[in-house]
Amino acid sequence: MAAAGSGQLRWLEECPKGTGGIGGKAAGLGEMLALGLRVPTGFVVTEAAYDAFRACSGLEAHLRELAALHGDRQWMSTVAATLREHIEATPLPALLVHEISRACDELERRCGVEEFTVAVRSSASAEDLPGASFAGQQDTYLGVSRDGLVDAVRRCWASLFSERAVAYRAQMGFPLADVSIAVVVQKLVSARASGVMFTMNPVTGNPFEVIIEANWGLGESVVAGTVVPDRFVVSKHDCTLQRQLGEKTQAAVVGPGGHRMIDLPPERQREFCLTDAEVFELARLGRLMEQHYGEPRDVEWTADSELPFPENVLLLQVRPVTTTGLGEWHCEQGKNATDHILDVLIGKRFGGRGRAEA
Amino acid sequence: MSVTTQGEPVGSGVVAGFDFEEERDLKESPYWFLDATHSVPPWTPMFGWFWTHFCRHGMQYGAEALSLPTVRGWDWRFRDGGGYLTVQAVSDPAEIRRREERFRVAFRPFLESYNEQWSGFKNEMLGHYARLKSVDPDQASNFELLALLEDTIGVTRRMWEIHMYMMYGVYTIYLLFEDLCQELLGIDDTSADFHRLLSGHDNKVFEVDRSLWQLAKDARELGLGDALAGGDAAQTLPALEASDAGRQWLGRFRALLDEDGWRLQRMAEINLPTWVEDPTPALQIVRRFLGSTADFDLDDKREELARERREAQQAVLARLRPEDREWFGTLMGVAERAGSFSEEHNHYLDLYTHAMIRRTVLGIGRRLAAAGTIDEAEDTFFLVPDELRRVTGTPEFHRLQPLVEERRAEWQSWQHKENPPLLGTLSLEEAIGRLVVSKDPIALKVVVGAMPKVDPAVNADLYGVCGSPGVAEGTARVILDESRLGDVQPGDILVAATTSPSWTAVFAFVSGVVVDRGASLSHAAVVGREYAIPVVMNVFEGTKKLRSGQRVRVDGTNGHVFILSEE
Repeated sequence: MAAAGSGQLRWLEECPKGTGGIGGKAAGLGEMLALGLRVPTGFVVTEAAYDAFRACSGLEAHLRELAALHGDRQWMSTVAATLREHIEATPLPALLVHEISRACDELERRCGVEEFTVAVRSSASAEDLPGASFAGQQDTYLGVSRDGLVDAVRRCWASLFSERAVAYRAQMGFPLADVSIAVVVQKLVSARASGVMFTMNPVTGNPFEVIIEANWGLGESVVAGTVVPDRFVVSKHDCTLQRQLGEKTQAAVVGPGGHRMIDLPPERQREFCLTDAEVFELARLGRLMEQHYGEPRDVEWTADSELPFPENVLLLQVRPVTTTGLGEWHCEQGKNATDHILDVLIGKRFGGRGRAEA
Repeated sequence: MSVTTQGEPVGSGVVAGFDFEEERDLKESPYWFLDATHSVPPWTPMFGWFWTHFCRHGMQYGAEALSLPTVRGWDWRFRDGGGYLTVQAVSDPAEIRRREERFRVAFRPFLESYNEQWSGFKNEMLGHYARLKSVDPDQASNFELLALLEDTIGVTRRMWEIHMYMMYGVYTIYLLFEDLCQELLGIDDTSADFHRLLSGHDNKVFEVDRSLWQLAKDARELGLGDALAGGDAAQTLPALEASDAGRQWLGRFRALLDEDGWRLQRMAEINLPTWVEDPTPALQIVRRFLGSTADFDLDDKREELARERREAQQAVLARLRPEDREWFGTLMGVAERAGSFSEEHNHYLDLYTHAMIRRTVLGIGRRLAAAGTIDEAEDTFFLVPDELRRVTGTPEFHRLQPLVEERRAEWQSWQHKENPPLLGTLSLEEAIGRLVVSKDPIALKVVVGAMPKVDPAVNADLYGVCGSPGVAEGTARVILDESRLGDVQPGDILVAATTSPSWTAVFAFVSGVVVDRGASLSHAAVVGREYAIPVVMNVFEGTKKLRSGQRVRVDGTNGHVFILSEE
């Protein structure tokens, strides 16, 4: 069913590959659903919704001011703060509020509970560009109730002008003001354990290993690196599994305004937070994604405490692993392959630059 | 016809000009390594003469043809049946730069037309072999025999030129690929993941095994199980000749031998028969396949490995920037040929040529024995070509038996003492350091190899390096000489000093392999990976420390061998 004729809201399953105006994160989730991978159900407040809001909210003057300030960090942060305040204080267009409310009815039906909560995440276009790891530059709100949803969407929009995001765009040479943002609203899973998965070893570079890092509760403690997570290494060839117990002294749980950290009792610290079956299921999904995308992926996932295995293994976000290069042996565009190999052979195998050692 | 019974003067040396002379040779180089892979046990004089002359020539030719910047091949000496080598490194920076410029042009064909180049060489050699085989030594005149000897010498020289040109080229690429994988992926050639990038290639040696498997299947269908059941060729062949079905089968078997049976039991020696002369080893393999009703699963394994290889390669290429994918893919494409080259070149080059040397030398030997110059055709193994040149035109006028006896006694004394692994004034570490500086890819891959890492925590009985990953347990079967390969039972752990292509067939049913000397491109490692069984290389003392019947565990991945229990 279509969420809205206006194109301001879209269910994730209506976002096949190539859908524009939904930002990188939502596009990734839509593509995963199309692949048959499990993600928590939800919808996208599209860039069109932000653009409509921007057009009727009196933001333009501030945006023009911001655009003109390229390079002046002091003023930039002042203007950005004004923009954020303005966004957070401006009511959403009534049509959008109405559409969000209808989407919440549908979500309630899908969840089968009245008192559902959602995770609200920004999905910016510049984010997830390969080679420019923009992750974490926008905000995420967890445990948002139906009543708080409109406010959370507005805060996501405002996060487009957080000091960090604006400074980043300035540094990267991206437009400061002329940007848009979509917002993903997904059912908040009841996370027993969560974490990250790399479909290659990001430390050694070994492409034949899947690395999973996990902790009890939400994934924030793993992403932020506040604990030493459990670590699982799965060989892609023979599916052998190496497990390494972490020091899971704390876990992230849903708390006011997002998440909060709680201390874990020793017996929970000593227990692996994933079963082997869950690890293999994750690795299987990871390989599926890697085969589909044709390159390694960095995945955020969660193991739901209420759903049965394997439906409880859910993926939250996927993005390319920023590729490591060949350093000084990198080939310039347009150079003949044979010529390049000969240069590398001479330089690396027979001395060349390294000849001093002989 | 009168025959001189006077003995010819006995020569002082064996391989004139190349016998190791300490005073002279240590001035040239302070280190000379024993080639333990090929010259243990010690060579006969005839084989030593061929190897010392032409392996040496081939290495210098190969290094020059490719203009390898830092090395100009190896020098070789012969000492008490052992081949000793030293690397001729280039150290003048200006010369290295000049050689680099030529290298850029000379190396190109390796990257742009590897397959055409290698198949061209294979065809060239098959042409040479066909020409040599077209001369029947028993019908040839003495002077045609002399011409055959010169032709055989020429073919051997050409074989070594091709051999070392190809080997230097392939190993150069392989080592670069290994370096880059280490840098880029954090894996080296002791890693299972590394080998997955390169495994799953068919080659000529596997093709021969597959043909023997097919012959076993034919024999089962023709009801020849009993005729093939036991004994050596001397017993089996008459039993087969006794029936129509048997003769029909023998026709196919001989056709295979005529094409692919020109292999010697020991790769680098000519004093044991070829399969064509004594097909017992081939019959043993047929019998082994006959005993198992299972399908020849090598093809399935190969397909599985090839699929894994393609996936693994894609995973590696996906990690690179798009502009790096083409050249890295090209490099990987040549590097992955290294394993099959390593296995296949033995078939087309060394083994076949050495079989031809044996055929020619024995042909001359029969003529000399008939004339009374020597007692038996095999006595020629204790002579060298110059001596054959001197007597073959007019054999009745010469008597070489005293020289044969002296050389035979000398050769027997070599068998009872061990040649030192290193001659000269350097320590082993210093000598290895010289090889590393030369950056000679063959020296690094074959002579040095990776040295085993001893890890007291695991308390292994033997430490080696990964030839092929995986873990297996089984009964140790120590095989020192290829004629005992028939003793190997399914599931055994094969323990050998070194292996060669005629050992390949037993890899189909052993569960693991332990080898005294060698590295990741040695025969056992290459074949072990294709059969997906664990192989530990370079344990040095496996054939000494392990005994047949012991239960052992082989950890190929980590290069450890454990003795679990006696008998």
